[in-house]
Amino acid sequence: MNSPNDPYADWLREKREQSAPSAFADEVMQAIAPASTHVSIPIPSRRLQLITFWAKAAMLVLAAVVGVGRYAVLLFCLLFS
Amino acid sequence: MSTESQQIAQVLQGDREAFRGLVEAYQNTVVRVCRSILGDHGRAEDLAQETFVTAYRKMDQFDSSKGTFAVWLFTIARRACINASKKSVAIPITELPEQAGSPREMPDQHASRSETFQALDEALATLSEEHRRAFVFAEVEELPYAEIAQIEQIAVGTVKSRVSRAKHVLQGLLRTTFQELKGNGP
Repeated sequence: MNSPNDPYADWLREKREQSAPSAFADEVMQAIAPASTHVSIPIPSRRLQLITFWAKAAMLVLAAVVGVGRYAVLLFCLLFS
Repeated sequence: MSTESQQIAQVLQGDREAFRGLVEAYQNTVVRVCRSILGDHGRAEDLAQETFVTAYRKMDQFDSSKGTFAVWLFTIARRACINASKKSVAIPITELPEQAGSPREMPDQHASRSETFQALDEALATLSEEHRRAFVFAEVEELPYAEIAQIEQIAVGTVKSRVSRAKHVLQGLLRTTFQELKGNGP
């Protein structure tokens, strides 16, 4: 079964000659690359934006009603600036 | 110190690019082993890639006193193939390999080389995974029996018996093919 024209030997030879795809090593190197260290600034959600807006508005209204204008504005700046 | 040992040492020191040399040295072998064991080329390449990624991450666990890097790598590949087979849907083998090579399934007298190869591939697929792995490591990759025993964590005698059984089935199939062709011939 091991003569040069033996189909079994030919089949084995063909199996031994198979190779990995050309980009295989690049793909492996890409897979082991560390994750990007770039830190993106999170964009606030629409819901959070609305809550913040209404909280600011409520503080201003409250400051106007209570009549402690300058302290309220100071508090507003401290909390939301 | 061999190039391979140097590359391993460099990888352990954090030189990621040194790993490329190891991948390039073993990529064909690992891909071939996975292809031959699993049959499915796309999945086999994914598993070969997974093998290298695991090897990179566990490089600190490689102990050269226990065996060669190739043996360690094949052990990882073997485990990846076994896990992949467990996850995939099992195809019940209702026929014994010898029966799979019955004359009705043999290529006719005009059978081409590729048909014979396909018949051998199909016969290889009908072998149990253990026999298939032993055959691939011994006959395709031509690894010494002692190394296969190390990869499979079995006795050398068991490796020999598995390889012999696999060869017997495949060569038996081929013999049947030729007899069939002879019988149909002019």
